[in-house]
Amino acid sequence: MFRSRHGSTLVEFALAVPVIIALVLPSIQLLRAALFQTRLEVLAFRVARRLAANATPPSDLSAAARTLTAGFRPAVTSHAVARTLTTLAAPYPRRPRTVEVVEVDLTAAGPLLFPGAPYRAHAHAREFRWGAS
Amino acid sequence: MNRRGSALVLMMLLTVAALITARLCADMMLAWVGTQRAQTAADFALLSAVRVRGQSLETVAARWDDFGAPITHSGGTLNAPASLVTAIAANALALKRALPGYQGRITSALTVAAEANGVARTAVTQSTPGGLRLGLEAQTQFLSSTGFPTLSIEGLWLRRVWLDTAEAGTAAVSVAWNSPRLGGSWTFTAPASARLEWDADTHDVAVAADGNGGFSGDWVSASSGALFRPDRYPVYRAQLAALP
Repeated sequence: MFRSRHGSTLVEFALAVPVIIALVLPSIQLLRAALFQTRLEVLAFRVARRLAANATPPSDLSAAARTLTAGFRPAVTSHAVARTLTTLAAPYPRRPRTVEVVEVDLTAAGPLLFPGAPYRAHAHAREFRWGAS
Repeated sequence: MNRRGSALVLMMLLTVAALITARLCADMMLAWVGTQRAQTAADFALLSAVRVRGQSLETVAARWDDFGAPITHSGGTLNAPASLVTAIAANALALKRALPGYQGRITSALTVAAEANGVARTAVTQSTPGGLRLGLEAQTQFLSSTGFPTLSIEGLWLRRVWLDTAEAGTAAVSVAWNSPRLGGSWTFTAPASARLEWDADTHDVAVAADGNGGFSGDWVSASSGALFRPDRYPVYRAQLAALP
């Protein structure tokens, strides 16, 4: 079988490129998705940490979360709630305490994994918040 | 080189580039996770230290009450039964000498909690050291007793140095965290802030009328009627504060 020297190299290269792309692209896309998910998780953690440290009323938590996530790109949809767990009995003269859990949910459009397969990344974080009853 | 090999070399280069990219992506993920670990370590270490401070204040108050409860106040002087004067003087001096030990526990708690979370003590910086001070000063005062000469007693009462009755000070630390990456490392800091609150129920009638933030800040407010009570309702709670 005869092949020209230049031609054989080009053919091999032309055949190799799609194979390489097929091998590498999914890994890179999955890494991008993992990176984005990690960024979103860390952002949710930070927002929950800040909301738990402030005495923001439960009705204003979502607005505060939106403010804290305003700088994140791409835009994030945020939702925060405070669930009251219980009122703790406290020995005199301590004041009674309520325990709340601040829950933060962030949703954002993730990077394009594969053509025609967009996905939305979601992160959830929670922090305790102690308050006076 | 064989010309056929040039495609192989190109493939190898592309593979290496892909591996480097993957490694950098993994390093970035590790760094972001590191920010969470650093923040958790900073919060935990600081809260531990502030809690130890609150417990130390409560312990010091209990120790003072053990020997100081019989002391009364009249006409600007302190009085005690003659049989108790010697014991009061000895216990007051012992408590005064114990104060640095209580201070040491606070800083030890910071170190232990940080190291338990994988952070060396040298990576923890205190930005407001005052918030992690015990905050009590032993005061020398005269004590009178029938049949005894008036004595000047060291550490007869303890004065708080913080001003606000509702809060005994805010402490802040930052934790430096190194995250390894290809060819070096990323360094970032995680700040944490916590305050020590006076935990007495201010809605309670007695606390509202007589409370003084746990300890008295001056000589005048150390007395309550005929009683000498420099510490009143000394209960404290450590609370995470907004990040600076």
